[in-house]
Amino acid sequence: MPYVEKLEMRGFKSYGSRKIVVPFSRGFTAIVGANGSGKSNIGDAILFVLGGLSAKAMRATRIGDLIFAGTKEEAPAKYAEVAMYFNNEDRGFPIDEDEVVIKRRVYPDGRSAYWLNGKRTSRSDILDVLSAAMISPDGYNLVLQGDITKFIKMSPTERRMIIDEISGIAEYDEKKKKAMEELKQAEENLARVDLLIREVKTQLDKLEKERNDALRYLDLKEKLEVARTTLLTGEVKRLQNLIAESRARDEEIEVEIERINGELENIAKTIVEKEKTLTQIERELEEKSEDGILDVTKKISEVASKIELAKKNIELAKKEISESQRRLAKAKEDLKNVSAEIEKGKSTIERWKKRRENLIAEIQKKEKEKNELILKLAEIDKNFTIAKQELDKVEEELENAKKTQYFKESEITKITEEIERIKSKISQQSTRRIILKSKLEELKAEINVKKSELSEIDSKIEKASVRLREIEKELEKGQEKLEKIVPEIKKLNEELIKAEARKEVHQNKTLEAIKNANIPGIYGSLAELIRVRDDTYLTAVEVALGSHADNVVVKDDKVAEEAIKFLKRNRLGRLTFLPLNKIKPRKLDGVSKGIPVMDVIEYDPQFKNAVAFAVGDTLIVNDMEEARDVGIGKVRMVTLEGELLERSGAIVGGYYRPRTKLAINTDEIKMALASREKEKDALESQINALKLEQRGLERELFELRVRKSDVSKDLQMLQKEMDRFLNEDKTLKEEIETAENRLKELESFIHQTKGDLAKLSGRVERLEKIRNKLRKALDNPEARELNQKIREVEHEISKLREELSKVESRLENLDIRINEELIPRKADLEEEIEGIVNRINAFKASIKQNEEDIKSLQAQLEELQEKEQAVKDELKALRDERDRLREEISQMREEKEKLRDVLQKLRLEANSLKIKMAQYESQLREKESELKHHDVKVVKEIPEDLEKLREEIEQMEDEIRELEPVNMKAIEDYEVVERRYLELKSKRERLEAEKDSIIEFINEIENQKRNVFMQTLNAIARNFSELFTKLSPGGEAKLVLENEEDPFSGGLDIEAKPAGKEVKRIEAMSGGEKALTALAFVFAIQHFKPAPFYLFDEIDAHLDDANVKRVADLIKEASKDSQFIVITLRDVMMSNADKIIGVSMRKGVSRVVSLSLEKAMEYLEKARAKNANALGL
Amino acid sequence: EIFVVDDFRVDIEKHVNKLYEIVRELYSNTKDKIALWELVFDPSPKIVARTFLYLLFLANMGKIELIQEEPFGEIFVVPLEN
Repeated sequence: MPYVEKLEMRGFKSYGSRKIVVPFSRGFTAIVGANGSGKSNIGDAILFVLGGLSAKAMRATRIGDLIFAGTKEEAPAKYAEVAMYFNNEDRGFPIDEDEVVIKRRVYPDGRSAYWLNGKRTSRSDILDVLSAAMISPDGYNLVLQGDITKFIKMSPTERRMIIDEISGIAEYDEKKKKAMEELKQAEENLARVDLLIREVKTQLDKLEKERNDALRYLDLKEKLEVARTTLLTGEVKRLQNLIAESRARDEEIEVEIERINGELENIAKTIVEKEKTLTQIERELEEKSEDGILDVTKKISEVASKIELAKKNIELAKKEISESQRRLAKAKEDLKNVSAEIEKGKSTIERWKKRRENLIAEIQKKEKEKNELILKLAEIDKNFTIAKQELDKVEEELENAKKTQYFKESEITKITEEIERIKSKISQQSTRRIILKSKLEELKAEINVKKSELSEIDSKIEKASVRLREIEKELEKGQEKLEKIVPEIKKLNEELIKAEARKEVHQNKTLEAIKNANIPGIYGSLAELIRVRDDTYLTAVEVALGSHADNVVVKDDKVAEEAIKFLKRNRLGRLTFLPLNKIKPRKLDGVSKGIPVMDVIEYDPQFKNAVAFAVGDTLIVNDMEEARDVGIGKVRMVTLEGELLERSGAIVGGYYRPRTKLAINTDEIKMALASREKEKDALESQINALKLEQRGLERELFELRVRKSDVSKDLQMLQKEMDRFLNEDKTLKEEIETAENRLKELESFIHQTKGDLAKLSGRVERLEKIRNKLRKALDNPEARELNQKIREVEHEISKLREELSKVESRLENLDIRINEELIPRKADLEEEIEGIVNRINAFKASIKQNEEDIKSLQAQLEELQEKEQAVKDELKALRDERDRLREEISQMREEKEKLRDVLQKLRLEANSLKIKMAQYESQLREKESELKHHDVKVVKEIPEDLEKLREEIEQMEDEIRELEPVNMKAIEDYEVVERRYLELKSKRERLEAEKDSIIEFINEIENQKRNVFMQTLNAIARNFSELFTKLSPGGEAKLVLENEEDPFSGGLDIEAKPAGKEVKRIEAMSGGEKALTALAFVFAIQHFKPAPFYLFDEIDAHLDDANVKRVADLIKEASKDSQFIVITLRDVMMSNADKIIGVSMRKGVSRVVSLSLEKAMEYLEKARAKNANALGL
Repeated sequence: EIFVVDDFRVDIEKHVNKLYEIVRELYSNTKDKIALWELVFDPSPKIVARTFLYLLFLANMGKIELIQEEPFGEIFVVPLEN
């Protein structure tokens, strides 16, 4: 492999104008020096001499800036020149020299000149020579300053293209290009042939169609003849069959009509019978439902209301009993209390009596004592005695008065209490009365409501009954009408059938067709447009019209033309048209006898000309005699019998069968029939509506009657309740009156007693004054003492008496309480209890009575319900019977209708059969004569479906028409063109095969290219993984194709996992990691395919010493195969190099010294040994 | 990059100055050019490389001149007067 021996520079960048030689050698050369001394300029010089064009890559603005710019002491250079000396002993360059020198010079204007081994040459020649030795100015073996990460930064596709280049697959691309050109050529040939094939094919297709048409035409002609003959034969047979069938059917129909007529008669009879029965049942039903059921229903409601009343009474009685029992309990309680009180009062009286006796005894004792004292005093003063007596009298009187006073007061208190009691009772009763009054009002209102309801129901019943009677009358009327209309309809129907049958016989088919064609401006045939006023002239007019009867009146000649075209187009026959704008009327000239035909007919005036054209010149005469009178041949005439005397003198006569074209008018009959049918429908729907209403009314009436009985019952109940309330009110009123009278008595008594009391008080006052006066008079010392004593005794006595009087009054009170209050109260209570007990018994008896009543009533009710049910059942049976009969009658009527329909249809069928038979016969004759022109032998088999055969014939005819004109020559021409077409086809197949083989070849090349690429990539990828692990121990990395299926459609990714870290996207790696990854990539390529030399400028800037050492070791090892020139500042890197180039700058000019590290080591080793010896070590 | 250079410089300046002192002392003793070998005190490639690099720095600073007659020939050092 060639290597760089030295670099010579002149005027290049910082290296001054003098020639500078930088010696290189095989292996590892390091370029060192301070920053800015110009060591990278050596790298730039290498790039320059190899033909680099980018000034920027060489760290200059322009190529001209590469020239040494000069310093203070040194002049600028005129040009910059770099020469590179390669060792070519192994002929790595395709030049037969041991040394290859390339030189480049650049002038200030940017112009470059190149020399190869001293000869001027062009840049491209230089590049060719270099690339032969796998060197290029922008190869991956040149890594400039800061450029180490370019392998990282480049796109995956750029990275893949490096592998492309190394694997040399460009060769395959070249082959492929050639093959593609061949393919294009093949495709063009193919397209040309295709064009020819298309043209020939078009021609062939056209001929094929014509040939087929010709063949088909011949075939069709033959088939058509056979088919036509077959059809004729078939039709003859069919017509024969049809005639036979029609005859048979006609006979059948006659028989059937006979049978149906008989059946109809039977049904009519049965219907009459059933209707009679029905009327009877309906009458019965009416009677029963009118009287029977209403009576029973009414009774039932009465009994039910009685039961209801009895139940209510029982309930009331029960309530009363419970109320009475409550009151009884209370009265008994009261009685007990009163009795107890009486007992207590009596014993108290006993006690008090004893006390009174004691008091009387004591008073007597004291009186005795007093009397003794008074006797003593009397001895003292007689007068005194008198006074004393008087005093005594007064005092006694005073005492009595006070007693009376006390008694009266207690009496007043008692009466007051009684008054209070009475008052409260009155107020209670008044309240009760008010409640009763409001209840009564309510009841009255309710009763009024019920009464008005009742009257409303009555009026409704009345109304419904009236309406019901009306409906019955209407129904009767409707039925009568209906019975009249039905036979009329029947008659009209028969007439219609006859008229239609007749009309059909005389119908002109062509005329019908033109009328149905819907051509505007066609008015109809003359026969249709004319009406004969008097039937006497019917025959005459018909004969006069003659063949003109079917003439068609049209608006103008254009319409006539259109109609004629229509008839022609559809092969419908011929007709005479009378265009109103062209037709000329005929006239009678001066004939006085007979009647002109124009005078006996009616028509629309607008058709006058057309009518006159037909009969305007014709005269009606009574007979031939009259005709002779007029003059035969003078004018066109017709007799009433139908003889026609032409103007020419020709006379037509004989038996005339009326065609009755003029007389037949089904429309009128149809209209009459329709109006009758309509009338009938109206009547039927009216009858139905009436029946519906009738049923509704009957139901309503029944409901109303039930409701009426309900309301009556309610009303009775309400009335009874009201009576009860009125009674109670009356009793209360009486009681209140009594109480009020008593109250008045008591109040007047109190008033009187109070007056007495006032009098008594005055008396007491007076008596006390007298007593005091007397006492003063009795005042005497001796007597005073006595008096004192007497008074003391008297005082005691009076005290005792007072007590006694109290006791007595008490006794009296008690006595009064017992005798006047408690005992009467007791008697009252006893009486009340007895009354209540009686009342309870009375109620119980009432309950019993009511219960018995209920029982008997319920029995009655059941009986009545049974009766009602019986009546209902009977009614139901009758109704069912009625409904059944109605149903039967209607079914029979339906059947009758159906039979009539059948009959009508049969008649129609018979008529049409007759017409058809005549048609069939004429058709048969026609066909048989036609068949004579054909060869019957060709007929093999007659198909069932002649219609289909006819269609086939039409199709064949159509097809033959369509095929014409036929090119018979096409049969031969087709074969010639077909041969040409097949030739072209086979040529095309050959070309196709050629094209396929080219495509196969291209695929083969692609495959090879891929294989070569994959081999290269796999080897480099393996190297890369190994080298990365070596550079980053513990780390892993691999090269991954973006698209493994088709490597060339995608790029090449680097996946790196530095030691102890996760897989990193390469963009996210540190500078050092990136540098290591890139170096692994560069060395992977170097190991696979080493370049002659490598230039690395400061690839170690971001690496720590350990990594630099690893890189340096790698370079050292790789330098066995390739030359390495490494620009560095790191001593670790330097110390691994074989040679070191030192760069320094002095006064703006870079200088170079070179050091062989091997030699230095050898020398130093020797010197050290020498020194050691000299020192005696 | 700057960090690396700074670190290098801090570390190196000391050694470079020391080497310059040695060169000056040797020169003042002999007044003659000094061979590179005389300045290498430990014959290991690393020390040789380092010494060579320091001399290049000194030359670049204009403190010494490096003299070599031919490629890979002997290298001599002469201190320069300012």
